[in-house]
Amino acid sequence: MAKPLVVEGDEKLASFEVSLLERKKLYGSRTRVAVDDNGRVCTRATLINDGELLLVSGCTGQGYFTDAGVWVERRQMVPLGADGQITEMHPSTLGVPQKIKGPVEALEVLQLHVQSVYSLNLLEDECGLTPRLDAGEIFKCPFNYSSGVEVETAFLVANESGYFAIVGHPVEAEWCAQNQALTPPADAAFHEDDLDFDMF
Amino acid sequence: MSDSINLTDAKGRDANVVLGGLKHIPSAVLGLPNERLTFKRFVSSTRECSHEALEERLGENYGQHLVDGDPEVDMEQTGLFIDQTHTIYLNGDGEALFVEPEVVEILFDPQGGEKERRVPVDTLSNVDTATPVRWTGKNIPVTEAVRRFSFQRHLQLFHVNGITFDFLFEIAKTLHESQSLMLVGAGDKGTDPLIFRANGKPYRGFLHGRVDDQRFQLFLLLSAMELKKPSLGTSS
Repeated sequence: MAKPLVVEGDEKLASFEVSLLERKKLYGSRTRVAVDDNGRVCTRATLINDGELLLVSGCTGQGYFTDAGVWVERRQMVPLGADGQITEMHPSTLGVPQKIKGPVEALEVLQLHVQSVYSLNLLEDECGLTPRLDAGEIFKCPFNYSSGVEVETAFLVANESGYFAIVGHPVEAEWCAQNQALTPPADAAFHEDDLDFDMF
Repeated sequence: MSDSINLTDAKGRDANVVLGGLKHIPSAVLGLPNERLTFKRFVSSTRECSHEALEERLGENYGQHLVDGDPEVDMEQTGLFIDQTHTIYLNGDGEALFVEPEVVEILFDPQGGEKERRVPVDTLSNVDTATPVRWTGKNIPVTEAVRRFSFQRHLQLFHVNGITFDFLFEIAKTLHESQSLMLVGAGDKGTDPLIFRANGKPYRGFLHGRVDDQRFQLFLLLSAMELKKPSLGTSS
């Protein structure tokens, strides 16, 4: 089981058990599969080298390679800033008390590029956080489920169903003015390739 | 994928405007200093080197063969980088199909159990069609919306000329002043979820606007999930 989310306010702690909230856990899911003439599920395979080699599941690997073709393992890699210099690797925040800020404006949550949503189960609340969440207040704290090159932000909210952490990175948007010919940056255009089409 | 949307405002007027993605750009990436790294796929094994194939060829106890001759490694193919590929299907016997297989859609309940099998129905994009995405008139205060829905995607709406600037500015101003989100929907009645590409994932769409003097920001927030706890042991 993952370590708990621990937050600190007024030098007192509150902690929550975290579990990833996914659409399929709430509504179910759907997937499309190919079946053969006998109704058996077909498996996907890959043809490479102009059909010379047939690869089934488990026959391929993936990784990072230098220009010289040397495989670089994940553990050998370090975080690099925009200038190419080594920056800090941020460890998981779970199990480590995180300073909580708030209450914050609800509008702040709408500026978040959401990466994940967690359902929270209260373990203990010495700092009186949950009554304030129940009253509709929103708090935020640093959050990293696992170590990463950046620290994400978690907004803690509550509704009649329970407590939740909405996790992601705040994003800044451009302002649109009349005398400004605005088009979305090409590299920021909405691509749906990373969406899961199987679910619907 | 649609990069524009046909949208109505509170007065029922419609206009075509540009959609742009809003994404976080990481301040750091994993890598090696002064080295350019490329992500590649490679052949790690072949069918002939699988456990099943070795067992068939060498018998059940083929351990000594692994020590003596490395039959589990295809020296010619293993390690080859994979560039161009073609996806094919294998039937239940593991043989390649040369005709397109039948496709079925399987529905699973929240516990992962199979609920239904059916013929898949293709859906089309519905955000940039002759029928505009409609302003439903259903306002949801921001304070309530952020505690009720998970907004997985943020799209920003951009004007393309002076007319559409006024159009979007008015929408943003209305929403800014009411501190609320506006539910928008597709279809004749405006009740359908938004679909951005053929067979794409459907979302509920909410407009969110801000103004600063004569500038505006108007967003289309997309949600496919409410904030609620999964129910235990019941089907959806």
